[in-house]
Amino acid sequence: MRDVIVVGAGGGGPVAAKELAERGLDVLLLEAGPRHARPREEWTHYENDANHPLTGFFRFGPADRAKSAWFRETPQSSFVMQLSGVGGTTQHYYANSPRAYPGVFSGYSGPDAGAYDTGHRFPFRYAELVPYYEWVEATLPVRTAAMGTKEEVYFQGCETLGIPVQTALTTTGDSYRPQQNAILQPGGHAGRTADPRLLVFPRSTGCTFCGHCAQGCMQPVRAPRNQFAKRSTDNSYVPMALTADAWSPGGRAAELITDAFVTRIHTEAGAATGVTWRTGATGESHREDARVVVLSGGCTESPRLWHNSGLPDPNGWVGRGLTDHHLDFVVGVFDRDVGNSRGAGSAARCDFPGRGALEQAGLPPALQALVLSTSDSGIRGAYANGRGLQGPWDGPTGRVFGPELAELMQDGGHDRLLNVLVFTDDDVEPGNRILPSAFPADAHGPVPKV
Amino acid sequence: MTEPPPPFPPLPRRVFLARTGVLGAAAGLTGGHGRAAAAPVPGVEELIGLVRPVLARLALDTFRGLAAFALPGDDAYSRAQGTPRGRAGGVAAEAGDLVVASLDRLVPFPQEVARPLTMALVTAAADAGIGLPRQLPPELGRLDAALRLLLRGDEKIPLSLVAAVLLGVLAAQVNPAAANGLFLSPFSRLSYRDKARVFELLEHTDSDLVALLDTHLPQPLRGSVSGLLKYLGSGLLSLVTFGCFTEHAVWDAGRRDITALPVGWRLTGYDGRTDGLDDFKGYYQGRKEAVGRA
Repeated sequence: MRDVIVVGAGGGGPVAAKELAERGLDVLLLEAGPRHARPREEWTHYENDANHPLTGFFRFGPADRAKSAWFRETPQSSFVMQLSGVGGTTQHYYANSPRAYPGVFSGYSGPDAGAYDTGHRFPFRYAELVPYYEWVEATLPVRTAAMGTKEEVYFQGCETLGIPVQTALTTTGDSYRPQQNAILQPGGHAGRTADPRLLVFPRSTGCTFCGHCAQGCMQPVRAPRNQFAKRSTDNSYVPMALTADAWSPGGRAAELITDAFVTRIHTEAGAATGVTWRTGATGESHREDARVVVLSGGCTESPRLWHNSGLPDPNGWVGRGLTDHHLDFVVGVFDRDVGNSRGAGSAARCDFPGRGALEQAGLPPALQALVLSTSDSGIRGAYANGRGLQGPWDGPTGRVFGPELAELMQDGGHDRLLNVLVFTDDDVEPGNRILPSAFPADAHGPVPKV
Repeated sequence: MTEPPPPFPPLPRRVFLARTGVLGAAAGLTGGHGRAAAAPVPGVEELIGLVRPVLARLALDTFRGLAAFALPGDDAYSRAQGTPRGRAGGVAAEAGDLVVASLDRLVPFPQEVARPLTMALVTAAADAGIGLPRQLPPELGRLDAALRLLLRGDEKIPLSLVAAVLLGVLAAQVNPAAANGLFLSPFSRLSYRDKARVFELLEHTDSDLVALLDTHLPQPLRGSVSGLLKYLGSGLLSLVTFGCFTEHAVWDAGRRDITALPVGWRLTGYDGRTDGLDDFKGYYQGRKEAVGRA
């Protein structure tokens, strides 16, 4: 009997595991995917090796890359950019760590209160969450991001548009600012050289501006894992949880088991009592009991597991209200190098509370091409799917494809592009949901339909 | 009020199989009708063994045509679609090969769905009265039966074949002249504009095609083809474009390194091997931290 079983070692589970292990509880952390314990031996900077959505070392699938990724039904033009493995989606994330707008919380009475999703406010006040923000921001840690070329260009645009600059942590109005990123900022030679002799820890510390946030952070070379620049949970909370006995008086090291896909939560008298998981390599099932089960399997797998475990859904809201941060890109073309493929993935942003955010986003060429070829508006110049919006840009919205793509990308063209990532429409919609798919079940039970 | 005319003519089912490229594949298999007529009739297993690699070539040919569509280059597929360029493109980057490998080996697509979809396409060929048995010499006359056996057997159905046949059907719908020509794949015979029309149909989930496929899917999946096709159409375009700029064609898995500069790197000038760059420009307005709650 464990004190706690944490289901999922992604963005959330390791935080709970570290906090509880630090306090001496017996914590079992289960992860369906792999643990990349030796990134320099397991990762590369190459985009297909890393980011191929079906075969990359960053994908939503089992540890064995010769096996198929895991299936989710997505009956629309969409792709869920989740990762399995220790660190979960933080392995390829850009470490942006903004606080939520106060207007989305209960009790908010600012003049713009009506601009938010008033039907689905968080059931507590912003002030109640602030101490937790501060604790996480100190632990990761979260830092104000340095600029590269692309951020200089982005900020020049913000200044030209006359948007107010934000200098505080809490966003209270339309504003722009450097990102607050869970990234150790450049120290020593980092960010100041491309010389591999100098890009070695501790001569270089923190972010080296390598441009490979999406391929997993293992910088600087020779840095210990807990000094890697990007603070994905596999670089931050997981090492802390696994070594809690060494640094916390009374702490107890959490146990991590990977390749362990939880297929059922067990309950008795309305309380969780344990879990069953399947080991991918062998197909064997295991069961352990615990006083508490923490469900942190991500936005598709958590409701799937809930449904597949036959847990109660008294109001029908399990899996509903998926706020998936549906994104779109506006890509600007410059007549000079703006450093698209260099530096931290995203180090600048604009916020428009109640409406959304516009983030600067740098990309290496294959992911850039993927972004340019992903749209609901057809192929520019060919068809528009009934959309093809016109605006203060050249031509209709839609995929940049074929000859236009070639001309845009060639001869350094990828570094003349500046991406603005648009996050909006994050209100809670009951129809945006996860439910059991009618497609055939896999080894872990009925698959989720997104 | 009258219905608007359909944007494209309905699928002519009588030439369904020819337009999916199966007939062209068969001609490649036998070297033509005359020679085939003199050959001995092979057994079913033998015929399946002969047909399978031909269909695999059909799929690869289709996705090479797709690679040229995504990033035209100095290759035959780009010339055929009318957009040749003087530099290597998606075909040289082997983006089509990447799509085939991805679909066949690593797409987590349930066979319980892939098989009925494939069967729908093949049985449609018979339903459409293609009449291969009557129109072709004996061993080719068994091609339809061999295809049925291939698709009804216990082996996993290559998803690349399903996708390639889908594109072939739509290619024939967009331009009937695509049923025959230089390549095995009807899709690869299309102009750039007509290839775009194929994807327009796929993303619009053309009702004739959806109806054709939907009736072959078992419940409770019947009716779910529309979303599936949108997903497939969008996913193919994204995946092939990604493949145009990656290293997979020059990848040495043993060394976990490249053997030459990838086509996409040569085109863009990118070199992604670095562990650091000198692009640090300081902190905006000199601030290294955000302070205060407002």
